[in-house]
Amino acid sequence: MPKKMLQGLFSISVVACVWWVVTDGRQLFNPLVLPSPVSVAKAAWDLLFDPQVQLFSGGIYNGSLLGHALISTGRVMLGFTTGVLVAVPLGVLIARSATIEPYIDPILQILRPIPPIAWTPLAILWFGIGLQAIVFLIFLGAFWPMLLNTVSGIREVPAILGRAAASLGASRRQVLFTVVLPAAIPFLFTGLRLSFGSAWITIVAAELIAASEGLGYLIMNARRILAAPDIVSGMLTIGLLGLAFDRIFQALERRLYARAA
Amino acid sequence: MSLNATDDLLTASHVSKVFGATGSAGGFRALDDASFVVKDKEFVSIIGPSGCGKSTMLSIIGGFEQPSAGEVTLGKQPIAGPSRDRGFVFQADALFHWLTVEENVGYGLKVQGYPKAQRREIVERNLQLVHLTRFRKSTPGQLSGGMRQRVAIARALATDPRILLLDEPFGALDVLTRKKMQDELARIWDQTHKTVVLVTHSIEEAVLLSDRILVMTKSPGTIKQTIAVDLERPRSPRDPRFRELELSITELIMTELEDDE
Repeated sequence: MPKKMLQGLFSISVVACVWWVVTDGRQLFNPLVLPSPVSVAKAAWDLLFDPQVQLFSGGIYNGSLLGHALISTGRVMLGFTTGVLVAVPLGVLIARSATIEPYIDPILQILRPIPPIAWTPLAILWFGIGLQAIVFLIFLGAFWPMLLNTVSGIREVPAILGRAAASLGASRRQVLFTVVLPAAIPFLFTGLRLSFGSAWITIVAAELIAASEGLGYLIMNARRILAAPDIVSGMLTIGLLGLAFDRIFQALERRLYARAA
Repeated sequence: MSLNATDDLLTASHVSKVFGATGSAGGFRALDDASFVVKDKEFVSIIGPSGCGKSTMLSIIGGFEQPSAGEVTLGKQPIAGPSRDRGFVFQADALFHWLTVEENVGYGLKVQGYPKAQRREIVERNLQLVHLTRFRKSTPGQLSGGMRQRVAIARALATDPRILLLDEPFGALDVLTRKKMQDELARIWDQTHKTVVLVTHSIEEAVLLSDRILVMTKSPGTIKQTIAVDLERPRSPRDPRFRELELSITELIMTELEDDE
């Protein structure tokens, strides 16, 4: 096992031990305020495997932790994909067109600091209560990082590469598709990773909109029935899945660099 | 095939270039009324004090910049942008770093729609010309600076341009590599007899390679004097007549710099 992994496991165990000592061990906190790691693990286990518990955790189709996680992941994928599909062409347009950029840029600068959650009322008015509104919020979470990384990535491509291609007979279109985009791939990939992370973070806020399943729903539902261990197990599931997705993107990124080097 | 009575391939007439504000004060005048011709199959160097506008002149010939006044024509056709007529080798690394050596050399042929078999044959011939057949599958990142510039030369020659424009192609190399590359270029020119315009700040390089040397004044640059180099090839810097020519050009440029004080 690599040293870094051991160090990580060590610090996680220390945190878990301290957590256990202040809860189950010395009972410094009311379990409703801070559940113990043992109760969280049990809640997660029950949510994964006990059909009785799953009945209370909501979910029309499948109330298990796995079901909630799958539904949330699906929503994030949907919002992330649409976000990327809109952001990349728009980013290319902004970065490549000196005419359009001064008109679009101020609008984007104003819209960008608005967090996705602030769009919730409008999202409900526009799309109604349901999947579309949820996906719209996740879309916003994914859209901004992807757009900004696309614009800066395309701008970072040295002009000399485009000139070289043009003097070899490439058309403007060929310069874009065979030189500028390939040269910007590392940036675009970083954009994808940040964009997915941002979309994932938006999931709880998005699922506040009358969802009846999903990790965000699981947490809010657990709050209603004062099930603190369920809340924390839902939170940790979001954290662990987010980490797993980030690692997948990182691994893909490394393979990409290995090919480019 | 003779183009016309005088065999003039490239003609620059009264070329001026002002950067920034046009018209009144404020703009920077890089070139002022520069005129010269380059004959078919001729090797011409442009030399002058740094900042004299020689690279700007080459950018205008390349079609990357538009002259503020005057005109440049290639075979009687006015230059209106980059095209495969004019192969360009840049000082900085302008190779496509995500492509292999052979893909770089074949890039121009590919975008121009050459059939695959013909492409392979031309790439092979040009790799042989620059002695890089063993490195066809390498990526630019795996090559030394000198090898990379040889790839850049092969890439520019592959599409058989009417003229080859070299913008301080060895300026970023160390002294020994530079000397080797100058000999390489002399050999390549001997084999291809391509029309070449070389911008350099090395007087020795200009004398070693050129049929004629255009000496520019300091900024705003114009052509101060044209010097014919009637030494037999291959040339040696140890030849007294080589030395003499090198000295007289050095003096010519020095007087330009002295005017500053």
